[in-house]
Amino acid sequence: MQTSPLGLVLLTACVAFALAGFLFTAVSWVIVCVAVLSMMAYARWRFAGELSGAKPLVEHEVLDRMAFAQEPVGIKVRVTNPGDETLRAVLRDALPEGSALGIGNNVVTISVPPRSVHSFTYSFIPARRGSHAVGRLTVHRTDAFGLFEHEEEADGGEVLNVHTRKESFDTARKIAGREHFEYSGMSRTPAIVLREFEFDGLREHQPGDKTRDVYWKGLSKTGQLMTKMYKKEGTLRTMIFVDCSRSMRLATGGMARLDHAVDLGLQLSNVLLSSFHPAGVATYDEVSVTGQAQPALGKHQFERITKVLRGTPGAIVTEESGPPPAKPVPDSGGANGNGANRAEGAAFLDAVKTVRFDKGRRSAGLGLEGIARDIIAHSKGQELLFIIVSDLVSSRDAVLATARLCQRTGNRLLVIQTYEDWYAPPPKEMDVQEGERLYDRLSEGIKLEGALRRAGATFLRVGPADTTARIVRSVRRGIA
Amino acid sequence: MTTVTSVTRMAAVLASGSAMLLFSKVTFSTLVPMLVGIMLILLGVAIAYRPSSVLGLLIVLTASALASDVWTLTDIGGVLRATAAIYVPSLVMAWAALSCEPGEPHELRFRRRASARLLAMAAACLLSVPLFAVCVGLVLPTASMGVSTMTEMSVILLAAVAAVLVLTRQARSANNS
Repeated sequence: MQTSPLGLVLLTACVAFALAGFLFTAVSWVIVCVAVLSMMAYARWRFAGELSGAKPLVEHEVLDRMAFAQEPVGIKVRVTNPGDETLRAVLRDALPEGSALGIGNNVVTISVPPRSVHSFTYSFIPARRGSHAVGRLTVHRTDAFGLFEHEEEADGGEVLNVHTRKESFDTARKIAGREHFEYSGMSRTPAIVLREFEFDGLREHQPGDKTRDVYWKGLSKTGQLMTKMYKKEGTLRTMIFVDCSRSMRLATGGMARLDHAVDLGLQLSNVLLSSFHPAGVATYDEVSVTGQAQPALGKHQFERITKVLRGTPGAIVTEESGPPPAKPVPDSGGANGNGANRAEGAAFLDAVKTVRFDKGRRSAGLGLEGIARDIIAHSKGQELLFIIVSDLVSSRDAVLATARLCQRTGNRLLVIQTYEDWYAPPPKEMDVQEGERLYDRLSEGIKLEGALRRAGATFLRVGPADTTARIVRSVRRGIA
Repeated sequence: MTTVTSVTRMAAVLASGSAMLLFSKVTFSTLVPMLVGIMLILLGVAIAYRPSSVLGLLIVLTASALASDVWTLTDIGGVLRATAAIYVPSLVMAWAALSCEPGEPHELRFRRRASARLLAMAAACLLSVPLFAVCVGLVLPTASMGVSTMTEMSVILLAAVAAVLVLTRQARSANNS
């Protein structure tokens, strides 16, 4: 409980009356002072009784089943007054960080009679994908005389995982019907779902061949009846890995690489599923696998993938000024410091400390390499395609190891590198030092690309302008 | 449940103002500010505008303190006069002036604990000077006759502050339990 501005005015008046009493040597001034003081004391005691008598119970309900970035999310707040006093308060439901108010108002003045319920609804527009804290309700109460105020935070609150923008889903739906993810060469695995046949060649017509397979155009040229031969198109079990390390989450003025990676993962999986390739997705950070949906087909598979990608952490927004942050040391991602996220950094370091190292090698089952090994072990000899969307900063060694693993086991790997410098805003002044830095980084990237290609992987370097459609076409045409 | 309407508050303000004027030495220089103050309070009550009421309250309290002819609290007559002419009207007027706010009127709810504490505080403050004089008289009979106005005011203020602190602590412990 604290004194309001009006209470301070009256308190000042009390002091002035007391001083006037001593100045004029008159008791009446002091009695007036005592009267005002009594009124203030009475107001305080009364307010204390009100506060203990009417403690509100607050419930929050998210009205939208799925929340998208830059789309309104409805929130319903229900306040129950279980006490015997009327609850008069100003309720302020704090908007998640970086969100804007949509329809309605998150600040309401209420007067809830005893043992009754009041509810209000509003919507907010989350600016970014990721986890958002909702339900932080502040109850601001003022006493009946306006002399004292009390502010308390109601119990409750929950974390709302906001998905990427809705346009990304629309794009995924559009390109799913248009683009087909056809990797060069036929798969070893015959199709389970026969969507279409691949043209194989021509042979002489034999009695019993279907009329629709006859090559009629060739009849006029050669005078012979030929039959077109088809073979089943293969399918590839595909696993998409999305790197959620801290370097991927950094958004220095531009777009966070993780946001782009989530969009790519979402759209690529839909393209794969529409081409009847069993697709799955896994997210990993520097320490462990954070979410996973096994490769499968079916109408609910895209929902499962969406759910996993929704759980990826949000972007870390840093100041735009100054050069982009230095390249983090591999496997020590957050240690290079970020003032706004110290708590998160400390939590990350704690997590890193728990990682066990056996004779200088990471233990099996940890991170990208571990999960790739696990999937290969459970694939029963089926050919697999791994797609890794990463900036290759903290998971560089793990990706190289996975490439070698795929080469050894006869599986395929496509590495999509979200190139760090293309996501950062362009430098204001290009000096020699900056140019050398960019050159060094690019040459390092080329060396890494060479190493990956030697290990049999396909490599693509992408920026924020690269769409899924372009990536799919590049792969299909063998440009990558 | 009974609600305190603006008419009730206006009646309380008028009654308190009358009591103040009745027991005071009213001159033209005190009558005019007192009437202006009462008018401001009535206006604030009528249109549910608290700043106007508070301004009027401060003007009325200042004028009543100037106009009052209470000079000592060592005798019971002085205590009764101070209670009837200043303390109770000021309290009632402050209640009426501060309780006007926009929106629905508050229910008239009698709070036993808060009211009992208010009565205890009023008694402690107003009877502190006679009690102090009695105590001094018992210890030093010759000194009790010479309790100055300054001493009286100091005793009242000390009693008021002590009462507020003690009763507030009691209220806090009662709420916690």
